Amino acid sequence: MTLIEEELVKLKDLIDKMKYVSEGEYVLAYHTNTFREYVSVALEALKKIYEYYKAKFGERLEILEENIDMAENRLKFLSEVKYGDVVATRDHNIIIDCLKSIEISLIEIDKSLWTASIEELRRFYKEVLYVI
Amino acid sequence: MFSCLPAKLLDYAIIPAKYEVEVTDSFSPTDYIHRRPGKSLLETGYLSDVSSIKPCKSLADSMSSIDYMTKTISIHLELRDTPRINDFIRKGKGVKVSDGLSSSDWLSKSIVMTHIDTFIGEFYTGKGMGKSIPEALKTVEAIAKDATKNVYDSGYIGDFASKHMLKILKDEQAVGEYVKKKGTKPFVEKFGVSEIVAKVGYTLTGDEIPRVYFLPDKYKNLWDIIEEEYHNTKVDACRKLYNLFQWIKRRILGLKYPGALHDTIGVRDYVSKRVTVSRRDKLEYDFTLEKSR
Repeated sequence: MTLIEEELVKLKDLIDKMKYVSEGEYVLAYHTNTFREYVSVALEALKKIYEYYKAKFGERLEILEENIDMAENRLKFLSEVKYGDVVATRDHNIIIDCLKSIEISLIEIDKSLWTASIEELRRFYKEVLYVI
Repeated sequence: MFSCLPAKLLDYAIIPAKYEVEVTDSFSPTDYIHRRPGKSLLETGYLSDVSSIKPCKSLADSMSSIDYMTKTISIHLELRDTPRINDFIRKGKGVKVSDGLSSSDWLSKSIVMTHIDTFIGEFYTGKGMGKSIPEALKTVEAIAKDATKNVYDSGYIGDFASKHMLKILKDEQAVGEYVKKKGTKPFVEKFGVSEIVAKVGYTLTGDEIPRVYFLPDKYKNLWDIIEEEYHNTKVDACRKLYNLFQWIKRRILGLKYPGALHDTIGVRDYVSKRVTVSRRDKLEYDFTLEKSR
């Protein structure tokens, strides 16, 4: 199964492009653009995961949907920057907003999966004990 | 300014917001409105004043009678029987007539229009003259003088009443001016309205990162600078989120995983109700490291 394999490769490539900066360095256009692309790909991956989750467990996660929508809407306000553009506050704020939304969404899925697995185990042991 | 995401309030600033209010425009209509009723009321007062002196019969009479009736009807009724009756008795007139005369005389002061007729009848009967109509007319004339006097008195009362009215109206005008001034007060208060700029920040995959704010030139001291630390925190967050994706993928596909992710790394949030775990342990199962090996 190659769930989000493609997106993960893209994300890895983008992470490799990112570099840590130190005091006095210029803010370059590719810094913002890399983050923007990262968020875009991450949202695609998140949507795929959610679709898979819905298909597998048959339940919706409203918090996750809200966060995906919010991140997508905010990302629309962040256009690609070029050399010479002024560094605006939105270049920073929108990215961290989107990253936060993605983080919350992933944690929500993980929690749901964990709860589901515990329920599954409980059901399994109940059945076993009943048989015994 | 606030974010709908779970965030922590880092800082806030109160900025006085100034609104441009055209105070002259607000003043002039109210001023005009408050002058208009003042003017019209003064005219009314003047009219009543004039009518009370000149046309003694129609306007002033009715006005005085009303005024008199409303003010002294009780006292008048008490007095009319006592002094006037005694006075007439002293003159040796019939008691019955004097009763009627005195009462009608007194009443003529109060209600002129209606009691003049009564007055005529009583006077005629009281004297027992049985005269013809022209004499009766004389009597009427004589009464008319008396009535004029009465009317003059009434007119005076009316005048007094009209002054009283003016006084009231002036008071109202003064109140209007006061209200007018009071009406302008809220505009003044609006100058003091202030806006609160709240600065918030997140805890992104365990690391704190603030939002940055740009404000007008006046508030340069409130400007934020995007520091290099913020950039590095974002890079870290991207790496951790990549690991999270890997984790979730393995978890959802039923592959091997070390345990519940939210219990392992957690996310510390100040406001969030959704994430309650506040551990900041590093992710033990690092997929990036695994791949790089």
